[in-house]
Amino acid sequence: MKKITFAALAVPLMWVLLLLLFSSNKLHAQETRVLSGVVKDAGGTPMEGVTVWQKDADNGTQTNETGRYSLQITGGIPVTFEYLGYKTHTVKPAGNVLNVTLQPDDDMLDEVVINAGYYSVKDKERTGSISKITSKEIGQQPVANPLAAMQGRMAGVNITQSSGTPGGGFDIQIRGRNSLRTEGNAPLYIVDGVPYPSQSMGDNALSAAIFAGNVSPLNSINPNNIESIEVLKDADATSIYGSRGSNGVVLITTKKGSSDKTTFSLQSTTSVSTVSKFMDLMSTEEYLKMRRDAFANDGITEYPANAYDVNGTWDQDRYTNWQKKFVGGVSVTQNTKFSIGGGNHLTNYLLSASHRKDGTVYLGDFGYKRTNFLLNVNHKSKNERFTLQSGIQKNTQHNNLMAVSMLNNILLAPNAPDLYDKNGNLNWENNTFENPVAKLNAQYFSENSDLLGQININYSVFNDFKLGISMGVSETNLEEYKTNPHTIYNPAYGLTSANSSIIHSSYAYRNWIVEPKAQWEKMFTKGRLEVLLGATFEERKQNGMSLSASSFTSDDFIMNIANAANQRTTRDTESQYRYTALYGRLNYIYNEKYIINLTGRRDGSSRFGRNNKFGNFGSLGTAWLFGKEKIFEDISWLSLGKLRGSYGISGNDLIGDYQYLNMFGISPYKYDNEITLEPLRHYNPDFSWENNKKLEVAIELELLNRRLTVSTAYYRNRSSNQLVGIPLPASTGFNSVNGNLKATVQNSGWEITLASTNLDKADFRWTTNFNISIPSNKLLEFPDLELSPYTNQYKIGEPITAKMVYHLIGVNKTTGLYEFEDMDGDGEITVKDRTKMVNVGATLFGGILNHVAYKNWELDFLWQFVRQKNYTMDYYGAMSGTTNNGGAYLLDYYSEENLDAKYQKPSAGSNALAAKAYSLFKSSDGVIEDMSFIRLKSVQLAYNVPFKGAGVRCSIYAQGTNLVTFTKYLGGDPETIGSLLPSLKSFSIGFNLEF
Amino acid sequence: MQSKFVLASLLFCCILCGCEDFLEVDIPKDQIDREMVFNDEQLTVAALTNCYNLLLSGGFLSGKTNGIGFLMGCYMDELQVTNPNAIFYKNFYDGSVSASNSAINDLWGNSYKQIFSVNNILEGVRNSTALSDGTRNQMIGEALAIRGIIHFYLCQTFGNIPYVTTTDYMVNKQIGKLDVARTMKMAVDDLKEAESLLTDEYPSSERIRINRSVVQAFLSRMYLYEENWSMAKFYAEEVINKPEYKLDSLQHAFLKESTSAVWQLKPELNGKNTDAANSFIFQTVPAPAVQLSDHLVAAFETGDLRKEEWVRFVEAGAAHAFKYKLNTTTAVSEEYLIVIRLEEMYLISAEASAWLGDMENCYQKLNILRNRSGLSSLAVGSQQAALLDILQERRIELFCEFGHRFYDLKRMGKLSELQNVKVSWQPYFDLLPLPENELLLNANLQPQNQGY
Repeated sequence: MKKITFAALAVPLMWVLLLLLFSSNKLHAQETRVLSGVVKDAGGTPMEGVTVWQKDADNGTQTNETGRYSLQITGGIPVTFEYLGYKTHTVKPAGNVLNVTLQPDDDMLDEVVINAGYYSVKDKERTGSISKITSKEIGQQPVANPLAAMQGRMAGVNITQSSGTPGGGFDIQIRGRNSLRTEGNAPLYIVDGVPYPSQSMGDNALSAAIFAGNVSPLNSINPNNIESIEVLKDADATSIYGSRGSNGVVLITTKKGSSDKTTFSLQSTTSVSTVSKFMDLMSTEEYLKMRRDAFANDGITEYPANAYDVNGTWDQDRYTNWQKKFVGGVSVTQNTKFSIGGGNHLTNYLLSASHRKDGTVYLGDFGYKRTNFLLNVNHKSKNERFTLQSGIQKNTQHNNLMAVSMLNNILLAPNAPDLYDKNGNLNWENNTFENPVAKLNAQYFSENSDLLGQININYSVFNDFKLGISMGVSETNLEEYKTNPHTIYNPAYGLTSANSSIIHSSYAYRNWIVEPKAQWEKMFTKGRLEVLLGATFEERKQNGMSLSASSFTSDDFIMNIANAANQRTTRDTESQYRYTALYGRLNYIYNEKYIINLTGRRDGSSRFGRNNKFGNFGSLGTAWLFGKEKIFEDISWLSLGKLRGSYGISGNDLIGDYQYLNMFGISPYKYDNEITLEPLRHYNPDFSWENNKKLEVAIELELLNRRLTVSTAYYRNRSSNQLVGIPLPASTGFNSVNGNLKATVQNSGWEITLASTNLDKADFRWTTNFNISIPSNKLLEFPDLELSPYTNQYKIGEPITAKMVYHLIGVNKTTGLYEFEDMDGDGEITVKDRTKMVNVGATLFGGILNHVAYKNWELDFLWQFVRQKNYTMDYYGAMSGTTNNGGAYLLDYYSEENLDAKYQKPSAGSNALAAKAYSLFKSSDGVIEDMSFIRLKSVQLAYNVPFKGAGVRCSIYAQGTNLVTFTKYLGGDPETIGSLLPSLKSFSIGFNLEF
Repeated sequence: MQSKFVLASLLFCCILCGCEDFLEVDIPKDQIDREMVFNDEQLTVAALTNCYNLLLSGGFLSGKTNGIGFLMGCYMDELQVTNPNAIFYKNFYDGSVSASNSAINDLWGNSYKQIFSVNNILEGVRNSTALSDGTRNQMIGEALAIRGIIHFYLCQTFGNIPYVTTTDYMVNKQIGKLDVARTMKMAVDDLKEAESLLTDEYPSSERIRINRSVVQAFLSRMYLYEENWSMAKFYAEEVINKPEYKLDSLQHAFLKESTSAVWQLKPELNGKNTDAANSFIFQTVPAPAVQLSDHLVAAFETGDLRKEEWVRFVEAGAAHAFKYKLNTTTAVSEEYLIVIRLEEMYLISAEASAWLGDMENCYQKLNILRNRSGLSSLAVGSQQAALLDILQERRIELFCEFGHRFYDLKRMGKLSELQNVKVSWQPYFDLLPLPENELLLNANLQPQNQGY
């Protein structure tokens, strides 16, 4: 099957190549002579480095410093003069001398080139939907992760930070959720042509408490090393990535050496950060009143012996704001970067080294460190037929954090005892207080180092035919340690270092990719044809090993596993993923007005069973530059008018390796000193690719002499053959089975971007960029939904992000308990009444960026806005009346004086009816609220220090992140919700020096 | 020029053709194909012993705080929860167990995972031609026994439940419930078949896997719960009369060498002792999690040596269960979790005898246990008195072990007496709620148990 497929594709290709061979033979039969002359610009200055070549022959040279050239030419073929920023000049030479004057190209603004992965395209001629930000926008933001730099700046790309802890994760959704599986929604990341892992790495067992399993692999990339980030969104752009482009593709390109002159640059930023938004908690008095009411409501008059907060054991006048205590710190971040770049017009290089150090806002001495090295070298041969691009990146990260999140302790009783006694020892308050600080003795260390190398070689066999190959390797090594000394436990258990333990896990990820490709370009009188054909071979290997050791003679030795009485290998795994593909692109531009772009890909993945290994993907994109039609030509305010559309299919194979096999795994535990084998999953060999059919229509306009650029896009993606872990009841032995669902999920929406130059004076320039996305998600079809395990989760016509919940009516005025709508009218509240759908997630988001430059001053500010509903703190908190503090808003609880309360009467826990009503409340729409917000995401003020001496540039800047947030939500930060650290607000200052 | 081009083109085409077998990947070293497992005796045993690990790590027979022993201790009058925080076992203590309680989910989920594992063994072994008859019988016997025992616990705790006998998820995802009588019958049938396949020999050097005696001991308990007194007595006597089981001293009863242990679960790590010890033991007051309730402490008769040996007072008024004494690791594990022990056979024999009218045997068996604990013999009494004596003896002998107190009060119809010590006790508390999540995923599990 496989063999036939590729041979079948390769054989016709050979024919095409042979055909080319013949046509090229004819060219060599022509006579030759020497042509020479001088190239000057419009001002009469000789130009150095102008390319002079005969496009259709294997022939070219460059002008010298006096603008002179001399070239052996073949008669009858035009000669072309090219120089960046100038109009290309083509002429059929008559004599032996040809002097040329090149005109500057006013259309340079249009000549923004967009990287589409396997090929580049002029922005003007683009048929697909691609968003781009460049180093200019990333600027000096003190963010650690490239995704953070993208927040609020791209239409259709919704990024949320899931934790404010350094080294934590981000959620990215490009045009919504396509897959019913969370991990099936990750985009494909490509860094300088090499695929980058999208999944969180490492051992979940170690870091889950702090990051909830979400550690972004992109953390290792320094945003300041990035030249541009392109996000491919529609079918036209993504289907060349075939099975992996379904959720969009994020292309990251690192900076290259550019100028001829050797440039040194030094950049340093220091920032201080604090939690962006705290919750308003109850005071001791309020809290104790609620507790007393709770006991009264439960009919308990004598407080139990263990109700230390109310029974007088603890000081009832004490007050501690535990939020401030545990996460109220100030974290200091230092970011320094040094780079050298230079070269000549044939060879250039960039060497950059940077270091970043992050503190945390947590109680305790923790932090994160990152070091990046980058070397990019580009070279082209004298005749420019051979080009080489290469790059090496080496990144290391160290993270030292507590092993257990302290965040849930912010809800300790406000009169809980001090953490430390007078002597500075942990205070257990005569064993009535489970001191949470003890948990800080358990620590988490991680050491991540990765290496990324890539080479891209191109050779012009003929002027219109190029062969190329790009190769990349990446290697990641992650070492994690989690210590569990006995001192984390209450001394009441009487444990010793014999109970101390450590887990050490190491993880290695290796990846190589080889992608040969061939490009052919043919000019016609009124058109241009581009053909691209290529193949991909990729392998990823992962190795993981976890060791666990316990019982130490002393906790001092805890980092040394050899000192433990018990040692155990809990995991020793490896996995391999292989992927191969053949892709092609056909692009035809007619009359510079009509563009058609055809892409296709045939993919094979080792993740599927024998009969499902291959899949076909493809798309058609078209564009019409209607602004160039006669009737529009005279309209002066329209500089560019483009209508484009695309339709195609891409796929998704994010299901994990080996899932189609029926396997036993070696269990980490032995029994009777022998290994044991555990069944790993339900067996289903027949699952296959998920399909995503994407449609897009867009209009792009440039108005008023390009002062105003507007684009509006409508997209509709339909994802079907959903590849999911179908949830199963526990009675089957597992929670899910992998399979394809016939379900179809539709993501559609509008994306509008606007860029305007409001003022453009010599020393005063003001521009505004605005983007807004209005996504909508819908479950289109799901045959036999009622019979499937999803019946209580999804509903046809509703978003898949919607939750099926009870409908809270309010608090009953007589019972004081939550009341829910009896949907089926049977007089009881049962799971059958859990039918209300409430959408959780963003329904509108975007950003406004303003850039003002006045003389040497520059001011940038970005507002980010999100309209969304989400789970409130009530979903994560505990029942009012138990020993947990909560937001002051919870005081609006039912009592005889407050019959119209929002929250039910507190209970200390022994009221079964209250507990039941509370557990229903947690599964109701009462815990889902509007959490929309508008946030001043970033403000930056920079001053370019003027220097007399040429070649020295220096700017100093002040920057602020997440400074102001407007929201109705009372539970703290509306972006990072739940049990993780809220996003931070920070101030930073720094400078950038170049000479 | 030409040659370069041809070379390049042909190279390109070769690359395309040369990807034969590229997509074939190696199987990871920590995984084994299912077919291979059941074609190898050693690997089949390894697959089976994993089921014991599953029993130990969660579900009814686990000694952790989400095992039935700890949970029912809180639910009944055995333990007093001192942990002031809202935690899943506090709901058991407070009488506010809801369908979304994490312990409920754990009990249910872990049990059916265990059942899946043994069904997987049964299917693999039955289809395999490579195993010897001896191994095959042993494997099937152990697997059937575990399947019966777990279903027995499930139906006694949750009422009507599905009886799962296949690994086919297409069947199991919509499986309906059986009533308790029918479930008990199927569990007994599984154990009966296991009894016929197993021998009195333990398959390993310790009492850590199931043999015929373990099956008989459980059959004895199940018949007792079914009120089939003669069968209950028959199997109890069967075990009592085997020479390898002898009542051990109070000091030794919970050591791994205990001669009264019929079935133990060996800790998963060398040097580790029981989770039960970890769950109960504390060193200073107030206890961080639970302590023995005053009701239980008061229930010991004066002079009962079990109060000396199995209860430890950290301070007056703050005691913990001390059957298992090691909550730390030792060079070699010294205590294993005992799932079923000979003492219970004496109690079953006594109770069945009482119902059968054999009061002599009843009191003889009771007094053996009493004398071992330093208590004087009771005079033979009426059936009614005997049943009260037996309940009292069970309360003391089996406290904090696998929820005996709950199941005893329940089958004797005495749960309502708990209202004296638990204000919030409701009649419907005789069953725990089915996990809410399961009801959502499988409509055939409806309705929820009454009251929840």
